[in-house]
Amino acid sequence: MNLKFKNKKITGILAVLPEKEIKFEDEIDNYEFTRRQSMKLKLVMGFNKRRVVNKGTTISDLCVFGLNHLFDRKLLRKEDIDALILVTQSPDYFMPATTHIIHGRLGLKQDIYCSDINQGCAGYSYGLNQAFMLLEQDKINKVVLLNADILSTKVSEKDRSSGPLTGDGAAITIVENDPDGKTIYGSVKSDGTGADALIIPAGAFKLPSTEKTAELVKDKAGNYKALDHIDMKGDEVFNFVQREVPPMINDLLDSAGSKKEEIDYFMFHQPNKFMVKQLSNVMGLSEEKMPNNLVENFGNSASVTIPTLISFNLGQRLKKESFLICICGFGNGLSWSSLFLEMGNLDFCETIDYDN
Amino acid sequence: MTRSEILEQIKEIFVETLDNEEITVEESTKAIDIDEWDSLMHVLLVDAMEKHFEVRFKASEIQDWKDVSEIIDSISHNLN
Repeated sequence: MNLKFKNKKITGILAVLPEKEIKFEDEIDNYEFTRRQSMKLKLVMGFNKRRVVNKGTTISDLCVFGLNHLFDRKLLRKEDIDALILVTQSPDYFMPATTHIIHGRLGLKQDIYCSDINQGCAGYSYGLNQAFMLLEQDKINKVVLLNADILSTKVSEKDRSSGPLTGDGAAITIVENDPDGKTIYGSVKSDGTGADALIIPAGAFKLPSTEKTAELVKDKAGNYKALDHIDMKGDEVFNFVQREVPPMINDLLDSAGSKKEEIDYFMFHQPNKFMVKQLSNVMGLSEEKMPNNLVENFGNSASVTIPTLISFNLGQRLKKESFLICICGFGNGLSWSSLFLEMGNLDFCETIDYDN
Repeated sequence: MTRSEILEQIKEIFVETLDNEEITVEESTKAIDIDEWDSLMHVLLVDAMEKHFEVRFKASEIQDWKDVSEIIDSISHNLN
């Protein structure tokens, strides 16, 4: 579904990463890799280091920390927030929504739209599309989009496909009306027939957690996983991404009347180094145009990867310069979503550490 | 390069990448026949074969191989 927005812009991006870093070398014994395989995986998949929360830290902790950072520096005023939306799959509670927890902890005004969105790796562009829709309302002038996940806590320590890659983090993106804003093009798509390709089978209402669902079971490749853990069919996800993402981007750029060559940066979700490299090969894009350096530095933090990638690669430049950027996320659902917009002259664009 | 020569070299790549001297690789071998051949090791196999044969597979090829004979087809096609 193609979407179009007028007179809106992103005015700030802040990534909040937990200070704790795990190095692949330090957890290598969990995975039964040979030394040679480990070296190869580091190069090909980006197994290197990742940021994770300490036990007990929640996504509301990360978000409150980041928002307070902005309040303290007068980069954002509490009373200006008309809508608070949070994209996550690791909420503090099943009920209430974590936006309400954050709302309460920060003492935000009552005249506000609060909503959680359950999306994974497609969630940055999904959340931005939602934020732009909210700005169509007369009463809503500033939307705070939060993306936060701590899914490292839902990955088996002995799952060699997902374990060495999964990171945690949060990102805050401010979205506002702008009479001079250029048209923003968006696209969202969904295929629920692939729902089991990436799933946490137990822990919600269909299959509540029990001793049985916590039991580690060995698969044929030597991974140990429980039903309480993330279960990914790597080949199906790879196929889905390579099949669906390139045509979505072509269609998005067509709808905007633009060509790939005119785009400054393709900021795509970063599941692992191999997947992004394959996408850039298929789309004929250099690594300079399509950065692929997030996983090896911070891990895959679901919908937080794209804002972190933007901050990590462009950072302060986005405060003074402006770029044509294409954003695309893809993940569980199956869900894939993209945006094409001009981004620049931001009030802030940085990454901070959460010290827990 | 003949099919049997490609198969011989693929065998060596499998043994080295999967670190198992015991595995049997024939044209009819499928991922399900080799315990270690999961989606993660598939990535390493693809990378090793691309480097060894100096070819670049298309994403659609990587996802469509049903058995080793189809990998040989891809390599032959890419070499020509």
